[in-house]
Amino acid sequence: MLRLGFFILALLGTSQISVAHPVIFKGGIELQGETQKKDSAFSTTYTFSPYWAVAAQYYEMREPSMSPLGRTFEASTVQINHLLKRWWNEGSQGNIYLGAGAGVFAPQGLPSEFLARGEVNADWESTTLYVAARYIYLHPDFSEDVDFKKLRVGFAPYVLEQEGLNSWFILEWRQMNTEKAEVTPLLRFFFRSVLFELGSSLDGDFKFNFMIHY
Amino acid sequence: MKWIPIILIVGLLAPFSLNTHAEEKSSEWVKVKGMVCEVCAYGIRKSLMKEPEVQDVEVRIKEHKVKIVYKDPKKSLDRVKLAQILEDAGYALEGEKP
Repeated sequence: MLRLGFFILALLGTSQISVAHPVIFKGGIELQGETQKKDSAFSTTYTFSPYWAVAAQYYEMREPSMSPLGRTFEASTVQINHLLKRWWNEGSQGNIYLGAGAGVFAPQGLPSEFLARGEVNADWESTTLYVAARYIYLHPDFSEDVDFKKLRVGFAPYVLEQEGLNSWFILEWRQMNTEKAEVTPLLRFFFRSVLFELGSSLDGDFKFNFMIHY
Repeated sequence: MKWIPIILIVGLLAPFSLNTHAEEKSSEWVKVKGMVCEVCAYGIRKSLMKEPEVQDVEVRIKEHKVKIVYKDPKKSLDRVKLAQILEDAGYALEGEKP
């Protein structure tokens, strides 16, 4: 029931493996999601101060052969995000974020466990360039620990003078524990506060990400 | 007694002095640091539009500029308030230390 609650919250909102900032504007809600063949992640984040946000997250690993545990699992967490440092410049911005939370880890065929979660995010972006790194650590009570590492670089071929549809090319590298890393080229589109990304990994797995702010 | 003319002059000039402080503006452009995308623009627009004094907001990402249109030219946002709103939105008013 608790897991269903997290899942609904996450779907209402939306991610664990982010395409956006863990802290946005004060009073802002971010819905985020990411899905591919082997796994999906969704999150909803509410920013209650310019430096702090609270997030509900849901993650599902669906492919036992690609799981570091050798079995499917789900992780549902509530997390506090903190903007540790921000650098403002004319036309660029750099950020470091920390996150810590707790929840429920549900490995297939085994009892649910308490889960502690920590993460670090760093990004730098200008109107035409984007670099981001993310590290997430899941520590269940009994099961093996799981970590996610992600690096992204991107560029925008054009910058609009006024409001309109923006496009980016993104290259993403992602790895769980010591499993085979995935490299995925993505096309990013966004208009106002709605962003989505489409891509296919070099192994041919289709990927879809989305993010909405309101 | 010799202070009376001075007091009278100060008293007569005071309203003009106050008038110059209460700057009237129907709109203003401000430069914003850290604004790099349409999503940033959305957050800035939404944060500014919550203010009762603000009628409209126009964002020019490429020029890092934001235009604020006021409902009443006599009631514009002062620089301290504006800097705070932008900081809450995750950005910085140029010339202000966040």
